[in-house]
Amino acid sequence: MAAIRSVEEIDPKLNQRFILDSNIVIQFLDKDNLLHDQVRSKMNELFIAGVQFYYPAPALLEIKNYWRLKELHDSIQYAIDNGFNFFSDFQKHFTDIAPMRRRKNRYLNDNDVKELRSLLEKVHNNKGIVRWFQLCDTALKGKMSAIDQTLKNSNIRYTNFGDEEIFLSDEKSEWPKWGTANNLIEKYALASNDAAILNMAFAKRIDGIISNDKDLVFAVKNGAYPSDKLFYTFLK
Amino acid sequence: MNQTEKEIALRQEAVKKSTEAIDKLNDKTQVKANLLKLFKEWEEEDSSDPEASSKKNLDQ
Repeated sequence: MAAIRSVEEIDPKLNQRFILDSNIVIQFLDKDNLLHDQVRSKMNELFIAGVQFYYPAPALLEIKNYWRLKELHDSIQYAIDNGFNFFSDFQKHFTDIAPMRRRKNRYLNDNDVKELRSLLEKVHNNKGIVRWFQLCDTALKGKMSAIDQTLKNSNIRYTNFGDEEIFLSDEKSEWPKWGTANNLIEKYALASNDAAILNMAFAKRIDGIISNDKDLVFAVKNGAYPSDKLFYTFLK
Repeated sequence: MNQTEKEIALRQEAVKKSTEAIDKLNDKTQVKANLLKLFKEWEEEDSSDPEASSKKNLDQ
């Protein structure tokens, strides 16, 4: 099985290829993230040395979902910080949960958003829901395409199963290896997105994967990734 | 400049472009201005709405 190594141990080689887990791409992009400076600095250093980074489709979905929640969280917080008062139940629930999420370097989660929205649904004359959609439209407008554009202009590349640079022709015919992904979910109880991302890193032309996901670290420690591959993390 | 140095220079340029793109993604100036405009519209709407008292603001 692959050893868990610190990114500081990477000995960069020209055209070495790494799959990036979604958490690494998020930390690379989000300047508010506590690990941003460290991740961006190291990745830029490795890129200049010739290392190539790829993010697969499941990672892109996670990145967009993260940004959706971050923008909603920040926008509501911004309103309150500027003295605007939302409907009382909504505002109370947000001010109860938001500090807890931020203490863990996180934002609202899906359940929080559902709960906040349901509180607005109770406001008379549909006023709460109308404002919810106005808030979403203002906070999120253009953000998803901005993420696409940022990634396009960044030094990390999108990859998928049709990528001829990554997948050898004999591999392409048997990819995606759902058997491998299913096995990762069944044996290690990995989330399906994590399993799909790790699955991509099994490709012959991929040297390894970089991840800060504790579940993935745990799975790899217990044999989820072969010994001829490399696994690096920024986690201590 | 030999080939290797040229390639390194190209990658350095790509990092510069990447950094600029990330800075732009994180720039909140426009969204903050739009949000403030929206909140002001809501406040004006509430001030002219007799039912706005049901909002029960936390500071009241």
